Amino acid sequence: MNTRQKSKIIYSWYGKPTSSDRKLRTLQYKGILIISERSRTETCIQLGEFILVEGENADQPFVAQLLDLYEDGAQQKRAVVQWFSHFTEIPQNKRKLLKREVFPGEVFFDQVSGYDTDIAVETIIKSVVVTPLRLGEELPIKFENEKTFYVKQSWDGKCFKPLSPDIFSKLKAANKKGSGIPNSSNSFISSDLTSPLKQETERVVRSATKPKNVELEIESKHSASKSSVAKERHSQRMANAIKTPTARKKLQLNSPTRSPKTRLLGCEVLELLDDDCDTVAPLELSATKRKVKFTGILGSPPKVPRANDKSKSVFDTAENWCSDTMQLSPYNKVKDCSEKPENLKRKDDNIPLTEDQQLSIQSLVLTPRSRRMCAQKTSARIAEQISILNALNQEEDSLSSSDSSYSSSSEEEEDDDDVLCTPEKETKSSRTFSTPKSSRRSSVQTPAKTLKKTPLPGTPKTPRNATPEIPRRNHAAQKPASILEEARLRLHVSAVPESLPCREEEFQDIYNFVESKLIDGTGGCMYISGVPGTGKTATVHEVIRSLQQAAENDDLPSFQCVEINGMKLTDPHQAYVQILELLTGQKVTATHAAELLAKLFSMPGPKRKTTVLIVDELDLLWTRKQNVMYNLFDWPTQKHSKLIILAIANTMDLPERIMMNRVASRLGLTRMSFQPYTFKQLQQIISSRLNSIKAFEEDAIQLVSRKVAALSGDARRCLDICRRATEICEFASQKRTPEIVRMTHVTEAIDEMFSSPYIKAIRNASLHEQIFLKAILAEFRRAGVEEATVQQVYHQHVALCRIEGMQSPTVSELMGICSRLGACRLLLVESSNKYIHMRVRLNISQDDVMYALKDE
Amino acid sequence: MSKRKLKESSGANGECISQVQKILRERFCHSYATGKLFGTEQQYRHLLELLKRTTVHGESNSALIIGPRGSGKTALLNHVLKELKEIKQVSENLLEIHLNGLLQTNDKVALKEITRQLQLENVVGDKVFGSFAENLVFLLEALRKGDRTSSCPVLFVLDEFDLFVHHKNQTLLYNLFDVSQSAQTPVTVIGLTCRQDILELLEKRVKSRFSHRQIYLMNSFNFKQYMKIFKEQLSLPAEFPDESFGQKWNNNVQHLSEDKTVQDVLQSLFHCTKDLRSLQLLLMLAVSNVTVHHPLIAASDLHEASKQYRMDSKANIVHGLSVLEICLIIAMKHLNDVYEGEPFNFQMVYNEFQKFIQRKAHCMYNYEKPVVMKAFEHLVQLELVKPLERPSVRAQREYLLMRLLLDNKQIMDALQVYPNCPTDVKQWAASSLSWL
Amino acid sequence: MPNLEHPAYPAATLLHLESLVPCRESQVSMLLSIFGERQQFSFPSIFIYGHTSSGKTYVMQTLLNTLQLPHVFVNCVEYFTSRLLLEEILIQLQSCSSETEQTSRVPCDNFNDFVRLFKQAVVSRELQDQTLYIVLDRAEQLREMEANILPAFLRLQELTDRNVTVVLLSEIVWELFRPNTGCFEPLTLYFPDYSIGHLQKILSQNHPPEYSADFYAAYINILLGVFYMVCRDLKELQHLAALNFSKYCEPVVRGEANERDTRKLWKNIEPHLKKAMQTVYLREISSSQWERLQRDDGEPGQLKGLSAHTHVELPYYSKFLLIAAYLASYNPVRTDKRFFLKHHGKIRKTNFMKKHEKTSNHLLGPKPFPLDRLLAILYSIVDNRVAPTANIFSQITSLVTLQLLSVVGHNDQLDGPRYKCTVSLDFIRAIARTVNFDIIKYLYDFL
Repeated sequence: MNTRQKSKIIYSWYGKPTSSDRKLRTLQYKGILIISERSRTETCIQLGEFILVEGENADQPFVAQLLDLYEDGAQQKRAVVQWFSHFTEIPQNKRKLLKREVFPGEVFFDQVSGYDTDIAVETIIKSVVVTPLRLGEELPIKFENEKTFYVKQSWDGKCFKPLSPDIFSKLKAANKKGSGIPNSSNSFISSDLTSPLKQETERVVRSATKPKNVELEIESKHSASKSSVAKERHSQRMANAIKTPTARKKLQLNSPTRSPKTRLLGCEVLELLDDDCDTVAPLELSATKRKVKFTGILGSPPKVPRANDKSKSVFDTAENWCSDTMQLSPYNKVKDCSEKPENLKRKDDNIPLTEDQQLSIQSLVLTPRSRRMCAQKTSARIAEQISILNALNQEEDSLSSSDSSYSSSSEEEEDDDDVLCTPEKETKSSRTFSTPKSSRRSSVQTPAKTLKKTPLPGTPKTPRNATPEIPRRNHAAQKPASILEEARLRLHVSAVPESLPCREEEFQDIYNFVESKLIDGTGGCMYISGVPGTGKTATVHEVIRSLQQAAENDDLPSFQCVEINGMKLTDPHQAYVQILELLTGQKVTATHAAELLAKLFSMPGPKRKTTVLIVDELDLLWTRKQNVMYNLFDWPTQKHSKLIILAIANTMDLPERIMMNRVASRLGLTRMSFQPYTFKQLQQIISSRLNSIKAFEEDAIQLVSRKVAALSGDARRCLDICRRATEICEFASQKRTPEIVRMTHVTEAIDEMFSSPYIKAIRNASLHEQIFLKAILAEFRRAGVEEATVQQVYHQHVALCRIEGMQSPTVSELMGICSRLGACRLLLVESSNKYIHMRVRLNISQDDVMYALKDE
Repeated sequence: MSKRKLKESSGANGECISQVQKILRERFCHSYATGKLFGTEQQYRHLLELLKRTTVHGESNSALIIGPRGSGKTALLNHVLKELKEIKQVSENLLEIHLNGLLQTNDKVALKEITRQLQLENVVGDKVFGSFAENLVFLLEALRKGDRTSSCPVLFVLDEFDLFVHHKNQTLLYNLFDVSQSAQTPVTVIGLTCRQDILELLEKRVKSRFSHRQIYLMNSFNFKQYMKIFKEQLSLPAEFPDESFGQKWNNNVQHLSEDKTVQDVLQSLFHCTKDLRSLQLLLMLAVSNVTVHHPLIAASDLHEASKQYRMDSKANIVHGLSVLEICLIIAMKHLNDVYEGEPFNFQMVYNEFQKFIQRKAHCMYNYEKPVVMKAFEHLVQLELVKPLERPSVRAQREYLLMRLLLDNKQIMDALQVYPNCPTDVKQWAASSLSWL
Repeated sequence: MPNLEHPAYPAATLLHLESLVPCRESQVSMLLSIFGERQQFSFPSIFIYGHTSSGKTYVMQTLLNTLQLPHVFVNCVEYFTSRLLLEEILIQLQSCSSETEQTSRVPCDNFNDFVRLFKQAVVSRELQDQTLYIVLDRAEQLREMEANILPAFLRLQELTDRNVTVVLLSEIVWELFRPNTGCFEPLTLYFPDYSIGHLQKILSQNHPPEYSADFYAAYINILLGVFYMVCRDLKELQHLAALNFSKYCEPVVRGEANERDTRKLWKNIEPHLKKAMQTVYLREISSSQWERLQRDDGEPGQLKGLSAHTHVELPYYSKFLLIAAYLASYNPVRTDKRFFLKHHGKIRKTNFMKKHEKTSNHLLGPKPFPLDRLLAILYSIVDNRVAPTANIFSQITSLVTLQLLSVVGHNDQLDGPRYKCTVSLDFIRAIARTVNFDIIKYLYDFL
């Protein structure tokens, strides 16, 4: 990461090097000392203790056991760990293997190979407690210690096994040792923080209707406090990444002088909570979660119901939101009194502030600002229905200067239905147990979740978590009755064939490319081009499908696949949003998404899978500064990004034409172009689709494929023609028994699709319209230019009429004629307000017109 | 039938006159919904089959209905839909989305409208929530989740299709066609347009995804059929309440169709345009004259109507000009003759006018330049004269370059009918450049 | 029996209506027959064109009001953007559907919303079963709005699927409206201009009570005799009639003449009318000013309108600058030698053969000229020595700000600014006269 970050927290060895390896020039140590400058707290973590390690996102630090600590030749502090998996890190499809419900805070002893157990010490957050349980043993219902995990079973990527006794005992032992550590910084914070929490939760238990709710809130608190440190760091990181108004500098000034017993602190404590969830709003700390901690701290009864019905309706959330943001002052007064005892308590045991309070102080420095903003902003917007959305945005904006709007709203939304586990949703139940991250994971799989953003929270009638779906049909779709119908069904472009004929070698190349990258866990991109309808996208999908197959049965390291399509974006920058959403499920503004992604791909995630990104219709991601393309192709070049990009577009020389060098060079030279299908291939495609259905004459098929191959080599065209042909055939042979498609039908279909309509149009035009065309030709001949004004044509027209001996139209009528011809684009005409001076041109060759008018 | 007989018979039926009015007006003014179809059986069959397959088999499709304005594209579609609706199995599982290029002028609006008409879950009342991007994702997601057999087919009707082509990146079209070509919710996209070159407007990816079904409507009928249409359009239905009058009316229509003047009128209209709307307009004018005292359409009515219909609008306007303005017009005409239609400015026109006055001082009082200027500007206001470029502050008005939006023929015709026009002016108009 | 007759409406109303629209009976009856009965469909869109003040707006309004047809009447000049226009229509709709008394501005920024809101507004009973008329006055403005507005209005009936008729009023013929890809063709009606007889009739109607009708009629006759050639605009004529009548009946008041002898009256009024033509008709002085002038019979000099105001007070050099500018912009460059070279040798006449006048600069207007040419000419026409001081240049700029000169092209041009002189000939002659400089001698066109 960055230097400022390092300056915050210093990692130093605890004690002397125990052993040293001469030839490896490594020094073993028995403990690591984590000193956070600001708080002047120092935490010692020793071998065998359980630790939290930074993950991709702060809410979900990994759990691990510290096995070894050493400093390698390059003075890099390294640690060797034994991983534990959260239930949610286990692939969706494997989860059912665990036959039982999962406790909150249950982890699994991780025996999956492939995760590197050698991590940088800097990624260690703090120590935690992991208590092993026997398989039968119930989870002790007690929440005093937020940072306790329970391990019952081990997970080796295939199945869940009960812990083998020796592991079990080892863990036990480790635990004892771990808890014995005197100055593990967490003990007291838990004690003073959690007592109110406890009462509160009990209250919740009573008041809450669904037991799930309780678990959830507990869960949320759990993860919240557990990872609060991570969050703080994370938020700092965010802050550094996105220029926060200099919160931390202030902090340095303030924190020493700040004495806990200032009258302020009361409300600050509450603000800091209020605020720290703002700080991490981008990280999707759920509104409710905040609420709970909130009430937890000040333990004031009136708040609790609010906390709950908050989780019930978004609107209330909204209300509270503004109330929080706007009428903070009255609010605080109430708190102060209720806070007093706690302050006192905190005062008399004045040990150095822990990270948590650290966080508080930091955030309270920026509170006044953010509060002011919210206050004024919301009061300004109070008239509007959507004040909530705005309020949210401003809070977020005050931290991350990210511009556009909807992200925060969406977070709100997501969190809400994290909370309210509506029974009709199966996915929910699992999700309520799981930590926010998991909800994200699952959201990738279940589309229902990915889209719950659309409604603005706060507008009263907002439908919560709208699920996008088309109503079902009332009558079952008919099965194809005749051969022809069957054929038509198979010939439809949408029908997915068993295999893609005639694209074998392209398939192989792409497959090999991706496979190799997957195996050696690096990134890279490939550019695939070809005219429309040559099966680019189809092939790529095929590749991914079979790769996933391979991954399923562990021939390959598992990977996650993400697809975006330039044509399905309203704006190139939306690409970031979609990618991020598909990867992590968070919905943020484009700019913010870009930052998060950049971070994600630049930083070594110890347990991150490789990502395969399919970018279809690449050329539409073009922007003037081309930053979207640049980023896309820049990420794979990063050391740690396990990102493979397959870029699809339909022009071969796209990189040369529209990309600037820096982009093109990053795209690299791994290219592949799909040639248009030859008529043999098309033939094969058709027959393979039709397989064994005798609906077409051989040479009928051949005719189609030859025709199409000559025109475009577009498979879609080919299939469409065939389909149309079957219809015509059906149509022709209604009376008699359905025959098979013959040449005649095919030919009819073909010229139905490809014959130019102009001739027919001219022949069916009215007499004067035809004369007008003649007049134009005459005028062109006279003037010798391919353009004339209506006035000139008019004169010609009158002359012609005189010859024909029919009354000539008035100018008005002539204008009408002209505009009619112009409307169906036989002519190209200027805007009509030039009247007789508007210039006219033919939209077809003179010969065609002549030909059309000739044989009348 | 004798005149008086007609009178008393008509005296009674003020009621059924209004009936007639009602029926025929509905037919003429509301044709897109209720109008009859003429000579489009084949297209009708094609479209019907297409939509049937969509609804019954859940087969996705896309087609364009192309034909000049007033050729009954909308009417065709409406008829097909009406027939489909009668099939129960269809009517219950078909969602219709009607878009119009005139209304949904960009994809943002279009998406909102689609979502609204689909009544997806992000719609409340008639409010659609979310931004453009979100709506798109939402809609696509909705469509992607469906599949051929289970989910309800959606019919997209895009009127004024050519206007959708100009939306940014043709995003909407691409996505609709893409859905129609992939195993998702079955959709059928029907585009209605009057542009023959529509396919050339489609971006190549969009084009590739469009199944090139084009249903062409050209009013391909000769005059005989045209007469038949005329009769059908005008005659009352059999189930008309007052049979006797209905009979009378229809006979009269029959007579009309044989009348020479009527045939001439229709002939000239037919020559000018085959567009049925203009026929309906003509009939509309005629029918509107039908009253209790004048219960049956006479040939004269049609003739009047056609006169009203055929008059040259500019000539009308010229007819209303003051003599001074006429003089200016004539001056411009001469300028046009001299300089082969090069643009002119007021100064020149005034100069010409002066010359005329000097020659024929007695016939007209010599007006001050500003007065003439005012007259000139009135012409500009009527857009009989048009400045080449927008007048700017700095340019002098008298030197602005202008064009005359009238043809000599129009001017001369107008002068013939111009009320009490001084003869000298007439002569001047007629005179060639001889006097120079 | 009245020549207005319609089954749908009581005869009394029709009579009343007829009395309201003199000389427009035929148009009204035409409209009535097209509109048909209240609940019957009418044509989707009607386009009415006719001359300035040929009673389009008036007839529509009186027709709709007296028959109490549900209608919306909007002037497109007043509501000149599509947004304003649509919102205004919706508001008027609210007011004419009786359910909703309070009219609230509904935001409607595109036609899609308009159609939706429109449907909502028309749900009320009495609006549903009768034709609703939307009249758009000065419809030519619609061409300035977005391309889809005009076509959409023309087929509003189809788009909204309600019984609505859109009526467009304009002075400009339909051909100049047609959008490029065509549209639903409206039914075009023509309101012919009032003939002189009509004008006579209408104008005579509002005669002052103290005078007899035919006296006033005679006056109108005279008035038309003078003005009819120039102007057939009913409004203008009414204005003029009102202004000059007092003058007309002066002799009668003074008792010099009785109402009979028109000759004397004519003698009296004629010069005034002539003057009026140059001033009032051109709107160069307000009618109040005019009346003042009438009262104290000022000398004709005072009576001149702005256009005749040929003397402007300018600094001495500015005048010369202006003259120089005029010469520079109306004389071809090659002739400067001949005009301004002090001691030129004998000139060959052939150079200055007067060319055909169609190329006369006074027809084509001023040509731009560079600064140095202006100065050169200035020096040569000013007798005593004048230095190119800042003073001179500042005067040039002030002339530009007075819009007597105008800068051509952009000022950032490399080859210095180019100017044009934008004053008329008689103006510059007046200027020249004040510094007694015979400008005609120096003008190439007048050789």
